[in-house]
Amino acid sequence: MDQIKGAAVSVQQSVADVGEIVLRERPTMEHVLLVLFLAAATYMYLGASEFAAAAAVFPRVTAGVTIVLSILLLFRNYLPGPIRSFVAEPMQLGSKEAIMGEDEDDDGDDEPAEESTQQAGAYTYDIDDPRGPAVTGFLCVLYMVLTFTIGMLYATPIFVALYAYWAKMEKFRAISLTILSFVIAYAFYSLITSDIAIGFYTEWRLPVP
Amino acid sequence: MSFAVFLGAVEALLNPVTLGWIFVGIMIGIIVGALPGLGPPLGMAIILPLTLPLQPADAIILLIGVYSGSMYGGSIAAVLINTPGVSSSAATMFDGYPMSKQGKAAEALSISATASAISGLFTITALILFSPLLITMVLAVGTPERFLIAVLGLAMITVVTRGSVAKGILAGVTGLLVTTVGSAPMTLDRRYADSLLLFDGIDFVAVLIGLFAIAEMMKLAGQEGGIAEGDVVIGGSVLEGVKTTVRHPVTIVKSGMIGMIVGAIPGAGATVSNFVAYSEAVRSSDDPDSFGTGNEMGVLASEASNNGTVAGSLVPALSFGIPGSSSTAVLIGGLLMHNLRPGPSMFQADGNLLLTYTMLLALLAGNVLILAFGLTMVTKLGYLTKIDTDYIIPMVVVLSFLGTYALRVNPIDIVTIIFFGVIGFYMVRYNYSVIAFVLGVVLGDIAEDNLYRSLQLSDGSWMIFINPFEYGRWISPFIVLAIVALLFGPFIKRAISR
Repeated sequence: MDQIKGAAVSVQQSVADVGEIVLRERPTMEHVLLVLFLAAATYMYLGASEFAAAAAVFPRVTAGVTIVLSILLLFRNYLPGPIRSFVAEPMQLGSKEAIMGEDEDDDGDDEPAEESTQQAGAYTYDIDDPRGPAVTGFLCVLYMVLTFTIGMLYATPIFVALYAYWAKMEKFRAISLTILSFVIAYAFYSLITSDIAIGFYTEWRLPVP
Repeated sequence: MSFAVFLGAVEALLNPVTLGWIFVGIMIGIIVGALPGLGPPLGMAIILPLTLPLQPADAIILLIGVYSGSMYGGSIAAVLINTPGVSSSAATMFDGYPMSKQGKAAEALSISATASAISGLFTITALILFSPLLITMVLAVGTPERFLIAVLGLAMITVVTRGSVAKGILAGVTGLLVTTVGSAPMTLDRRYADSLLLFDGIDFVAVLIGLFAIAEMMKLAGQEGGIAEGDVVIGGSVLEGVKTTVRHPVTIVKSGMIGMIVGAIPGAGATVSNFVAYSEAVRSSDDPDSFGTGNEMGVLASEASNNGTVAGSLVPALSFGIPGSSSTAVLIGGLLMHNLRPGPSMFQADGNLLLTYTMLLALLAGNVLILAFGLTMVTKLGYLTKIDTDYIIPMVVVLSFLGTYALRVNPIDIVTIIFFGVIGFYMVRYNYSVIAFVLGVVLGDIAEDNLYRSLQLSDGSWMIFINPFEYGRWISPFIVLAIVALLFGPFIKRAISR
């Protein structure tokens, strides 16, 4: 296990080193986001050639702009002054400093929002424990997989129970919350749609209570 | 004609069912607003799928009730535990929490309730009185201008909200790109829909829920605190708070108007108006140094402005489908979900004018409810601040999954909420405007529809947007100029000054 973990860290390190040379800055999840936008937009731009002319205009224009801006943002450290200013520097009419009459920090820093609550439009929470978002995201994916396999009606209490376990919730409260979640899911099942009891891939159906 | 419709709206409002939905919406809004980490867009996004079985008018009234109620609810946590339930109450903390520490929490909360209600009543009344002019204006705008106004809205959002302009445009345009999956709005060509699951495109409700609910819950899961430690003592006099508020009508009206004007600017929203109104209160005060130490005017100005924003943000939302804030983006989502397209039809007597007036009147009634609830329940509000986020997170995720899936029973929607939840989490982290992205998603079909019609009018020439001599569209070039000035003006000015 440790070997696998070590190998993964080593690969990650190598990718980050190469990325740093190419991008002239240490790669972050922002770069992953931009690459994702770029890849999706490129696929959609090329795919638009298969549509009728009238249906192709809008996707082509939006995909084209997405491609250009993603590339500019990815390679912002190569850009000359004025273009870099447009691409990388914040430019707000409604910044808190402007409103409150304080000095504007205009150094173009690109730090994560959690580290900067400088702007009025940017009331954000600090991330104290990075495991929280990761575990929540993982449990959401698990919830999705369970939904596809055994149906959302039964996946729901499992998800809540797992979350309660992760959050080290008091046993009585965890059980109560799990039961409450099943009641909510059952209300959806009986009042809105019975399809939430079906697993998509298997179409296997647990006996409905 | 309009007055007859207005009377019809009054009649519709007096229906007990409608009043019931206003009550439910306001209550949900107050609770959602008071719980740190939630907020109006999230609350509205979760409620959105559940409104499907409702009549369109009831659904929209419920959503708008949540929106209005949460504006007041946000002040509860701001005053009691120094954490704004919603970002639009951030400035309320500056004086609300010191008042609470001085044993005047009840006074602060009653100022908040009274100022919110009076400001809401004032601004909604102003909007209703202003509506005939608004109707004339909206009906005078043609298809090319409508497309350009959509682009202008996007441009304003990128400038007003945080992050670089390029990041803002990228977020907005990517949102537009998402809407190209599925059937083209006019030609009905199938695009990027190799799988049957994508035949109807990516559901914007799922995108909204992903961006607002899942992304927010991921963020909240990484945050410690935010709930009251120990017992929250709510001391002070409720009556004193009411008296303080009614003694300052100028501040209420001024802050409400600031909220309304700022709210009408796409992307600015209540967070900005909150600070603008607060700073104006500081500027015009005889004792500016007392702000931040428990000055009642700080709470009053801040809370009056954020409820005023609700009325302002409805102007671009109903007129052109451009949301003034994240909450109005979800509201537009609700309109579209119920086959109500923002734009001229919302103001035509033979269209949806009745709904528009009913909605505005419901907001008026909602503000009376906020006042009644705020003043009578003020001593009980501390309970809301004691709910641990560990209970909130799984329940919000569950409601998001169930609500989204129940809407179309399409498994791709579950993938969508998780995918956009993760995207939204990182967009916020790296200062990409989520509101611009949402605007793109909500506006995509409307923008493409108007672009398509415009190009049909001009036989495919884009000059229709900039050449008034050939096409006789004299407003369009000015809107184009405004877009260019907004996006590039500050950089050109800076380059020249260097």
